[in-house]
Amino acid sequence: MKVVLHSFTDLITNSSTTIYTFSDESEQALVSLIDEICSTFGLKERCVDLFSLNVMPNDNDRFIEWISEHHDEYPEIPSSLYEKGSYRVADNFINNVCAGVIEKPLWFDTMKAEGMKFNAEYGPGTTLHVIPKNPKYEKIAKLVVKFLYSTDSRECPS
Amino acid sequence: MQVKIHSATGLITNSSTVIFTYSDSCVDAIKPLVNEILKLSGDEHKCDDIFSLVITLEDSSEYFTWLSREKTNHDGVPQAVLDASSVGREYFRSLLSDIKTGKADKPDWFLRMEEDLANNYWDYDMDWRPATVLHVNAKNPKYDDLARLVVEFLYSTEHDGGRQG
Repeated sequence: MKVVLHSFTDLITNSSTTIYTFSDESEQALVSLIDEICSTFGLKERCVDLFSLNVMPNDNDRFIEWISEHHDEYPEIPSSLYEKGSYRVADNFINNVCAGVIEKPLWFDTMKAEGMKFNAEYGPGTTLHVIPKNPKYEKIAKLVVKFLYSTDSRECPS
Repeated sequence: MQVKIHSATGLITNSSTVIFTYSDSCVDAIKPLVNEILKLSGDEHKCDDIFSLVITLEDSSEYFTWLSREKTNHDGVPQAVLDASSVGREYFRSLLSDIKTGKADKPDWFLRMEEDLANNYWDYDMDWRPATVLHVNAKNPKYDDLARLVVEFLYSTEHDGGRQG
């Protein structure tokens, strides 16, 4: 089954409705775009050389839940991520891994894959993260994300 | 006055809900991105040199609704466009095609029509402000693929609605 990964812009359109934006296709679309840019302008780099791309849910609840349920199977998961009152620590840890600040542990991809399956069905949408591999690409990374989420969605009950 | 324009992707989420995505901010978002790419690649061009950016209503039938129903705001609208026959419709389709592909600028009456549809859609029996879409046209064929991929990236997201409470 194809996991519906999604990036997100959510917008409260009225008191009872939220729009979730899903970007399962955005990661590959960006790879194609950046590769074409490099090709068109004679750059030898490709997207993989310039950016790390990561599609993640808009909150880490499913992942934190997964850590809580599976830390016995993965002893390398630090106890600081699942002991009582650790929500914020775990939340920051996941965000920092996604941002490339902390090296990704081996169990992270398993957690992400399983959490994403749940998110696809019940989750709050996802965001595409674009992390530059060189500081000179930071501005492009920000502008790419700004462009992707420059649309505005409204729900119209018909 | 500038029409509040938006590009759109409509998605039916269930039998009774449609989501419209507006892209009024997309033109302002794409220009600095393309300019930064050009700068990094050592190219002295700017976004406006390589692309024409146009936003139109996603559903062209809404223009025809305005043309057929709006009777008091036709200043400057060519008589051929107001011709309700197939000839008139074809004339308008051709103009719209030229606008979408950057071959023609929007005339003042066209901007006025979009503004009226955006602000007074209920006068035309529309339930919601008409959705719009961004067109990116390359001014040189060597940028055609780039233009297509920019649009594909912009509209690579999907939307879904959720109820709270």
